[in-house]
Amino acid sequence: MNARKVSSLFQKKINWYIEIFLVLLYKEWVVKYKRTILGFIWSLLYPLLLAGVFYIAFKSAFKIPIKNYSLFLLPGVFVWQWFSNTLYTGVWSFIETAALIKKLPIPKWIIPLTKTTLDLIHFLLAVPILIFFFLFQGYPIYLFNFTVGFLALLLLQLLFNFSLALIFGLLNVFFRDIERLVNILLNFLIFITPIFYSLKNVEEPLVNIILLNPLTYFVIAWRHLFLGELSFKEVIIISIITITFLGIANFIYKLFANKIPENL
Amino acid sequence: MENIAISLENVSKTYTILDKISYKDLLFSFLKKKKLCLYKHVEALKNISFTVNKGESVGIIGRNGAGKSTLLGLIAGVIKPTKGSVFVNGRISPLLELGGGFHPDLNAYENIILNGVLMGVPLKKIRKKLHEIIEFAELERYANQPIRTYSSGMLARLGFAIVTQLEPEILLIDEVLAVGDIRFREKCIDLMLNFKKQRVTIILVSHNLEDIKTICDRVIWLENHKIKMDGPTDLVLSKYEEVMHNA
Repeated sequence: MNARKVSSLFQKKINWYIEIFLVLLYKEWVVKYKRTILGFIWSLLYPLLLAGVFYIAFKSAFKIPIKNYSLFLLPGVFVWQWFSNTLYTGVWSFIETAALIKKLPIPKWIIPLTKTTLDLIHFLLAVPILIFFFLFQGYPIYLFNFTVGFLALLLLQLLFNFSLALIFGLLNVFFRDIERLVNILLNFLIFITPIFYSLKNVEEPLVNIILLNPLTYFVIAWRHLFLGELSFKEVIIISIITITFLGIANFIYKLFANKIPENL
Repeated sequence: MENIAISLENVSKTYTILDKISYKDLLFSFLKKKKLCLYKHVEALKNISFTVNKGESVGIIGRNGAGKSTLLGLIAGVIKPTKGSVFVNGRISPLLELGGGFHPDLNAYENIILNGVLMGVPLKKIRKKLHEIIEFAELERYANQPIRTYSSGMLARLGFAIVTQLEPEILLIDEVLAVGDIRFREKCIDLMLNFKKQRVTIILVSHNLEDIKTICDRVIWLENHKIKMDGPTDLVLSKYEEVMHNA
């Protein structure tokens, strides 16, 4: 085969991947909101309500000493929503599509990728609301800095969520215990991620646990982005975290992907 | 090489199946310092070799559990062989059941696009063929409804229409001609005979020997995970019927 033929085959394959990705994404979107009246508004409402609960609990009841607490809460809550949704749905993604995976040789990693992309779209729909809140409270948004930082964080968060969904989704095919573990993990994780508190509010031994949680760095970076305080160093740190998890995901995928169809 | 559609060389497939393990077994083996066996091996196919030329129509027969579905999985590229190599030249069109490429909450048009893309047909091409597919499946009146409202016959028609109207290169058919009424069945068989004329490669797995007689020129008979016989339809089927009747 000559070089031109190889590159045209490659192009064909890429086009096929893109089309699979798009039709699966469309399917997910339609199926998620079938027979609902509010449709995607639910995915905005839910985190806003969660933020409301946090606000009442921690601002009014526990008197947490943070200024502008509602602004402090919102970015983290939406990021949490994206992350946790991807994990909840990602862990089932291969089992759900068993009939498909067993019949057609499609690239399997696309399935969790569509799951996390669907949640990325929900996150994007929430961004105007976030920007509005920050502008309304008098925080300036510098268009260039914000856009660059936003796109970087968006890509990193997408890849980070994707790699975790892929890892847990793959393992769940072989051991259904994983699904239970993910549920417990998420219940636990929301408390060791600085979403409704700041690291400054936490005492010495506990801080170390929170700093071991990779999601901590993402949530803080997103908050800093909206406050206009995002530093280059933070982006580097979460890049390293993301690449590490992508590497683990890739390793596990290579090990198990071919064995999925016969184990479903 | 150009003329070959499918070629299997010394293909064996052994499934590694995770045994059901519970914490009790784990604890037990730990206490007794016994090595725990986490999985068992199940042989599905042994040393399978054959070549299918472009335009050939091959039937695959055999008892339940002989390895027919594994063979289709290998050809489709979904299952990887434990040993040997599988070579496929052309786009594979497997007939999908509900739950496969279909989604009950999408309508017929959306399902056609979903299915077609997953099978590797470019979106542009599918768009052009949408109406032909609906027409062939005789679903014009219901095309806008979610397919969960369809009867099983309607679904079978839709599935069959999708694979056959999107210019298949290698058709993989696993016991589906059984559904649908007599008229649609006849239409399907006509279509298959038409494909034969157009030199589409057909692999048909079926227990219905009549269908195989009508459609296939060659039959591969699987028994005990091996090829028992591979040859012209009449020859293999007469031998097969003889053995099945005596058993």
